Amino acid sequence: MNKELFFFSLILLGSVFISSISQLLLKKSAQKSYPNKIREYLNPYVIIGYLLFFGCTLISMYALKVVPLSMAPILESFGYVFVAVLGFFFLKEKFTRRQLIGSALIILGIVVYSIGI
Amino acid sequence: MNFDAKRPFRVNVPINNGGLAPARQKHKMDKLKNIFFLHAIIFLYSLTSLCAKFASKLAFFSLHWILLYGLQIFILGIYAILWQQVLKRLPLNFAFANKSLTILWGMLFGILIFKEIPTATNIIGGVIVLIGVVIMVTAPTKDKGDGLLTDASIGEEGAKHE
Repeated sequence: MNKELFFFSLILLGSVFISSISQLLLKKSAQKSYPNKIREYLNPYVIIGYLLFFGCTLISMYALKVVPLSMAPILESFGYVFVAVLGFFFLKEKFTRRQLIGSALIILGIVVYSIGI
Repeated sequence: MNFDAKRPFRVNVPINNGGLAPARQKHKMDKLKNIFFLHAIIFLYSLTSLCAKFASKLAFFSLHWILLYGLQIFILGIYAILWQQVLKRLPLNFAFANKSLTILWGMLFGILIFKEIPTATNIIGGVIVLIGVVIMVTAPTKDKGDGLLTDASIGEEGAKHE
């Protein structure tokens, strides 16, 4: 992998991490009950979540200047690892052995994918 | 004689036979509906990266860029609203794991539109990632059950927000 692609891949991974945080915020919001539909969408969790999400679209697009379209979803799969880790710490979701194996395979797959490009 | 004077023509249908079965069937249909809904949204989501890839090739803040980015944000907006509804019905891990299908959509769009020919290691790596994701899908979540859309996981998540 050349230096430029590596650098832009890191940018995309950073964007994926931020978007995982926004997913966490949305889930936090979905777990609460609200008096009406408007409040369901307009609350700090959802607003900050979507602001982060919005920022991610620009960061990701910048990364896509160099990262091939077919590689983007591969790198975005790292989001599962991020979400599992974030879910473990902030939603008290269990991090099971299977999730550990899955995460390891995702990381391995990304490494293998990156060989020779 | 079983004759009921008030309802002489009433056909006697066994009442208790179906008490449970139709409810289960409805539940199954709801599950299928949720999964179909989820995947329709995932396809919609794949289109946004297609817009982003097209836009990334243009000069940022040029007219065409603004139009394409606008389209991307528009699709994302629809996606976001629908996604939040999905998160109510399905566990976050499950919904997020199914998004792995964007790998296939991305590869397909890459090959067909941008002529990105995958190498052998690309394909092997992609398959490993997919396997990893599938293992995560089937891993138990914080919700009871096996994580694969058990009645418990959908029922609870769904019921909480009715």
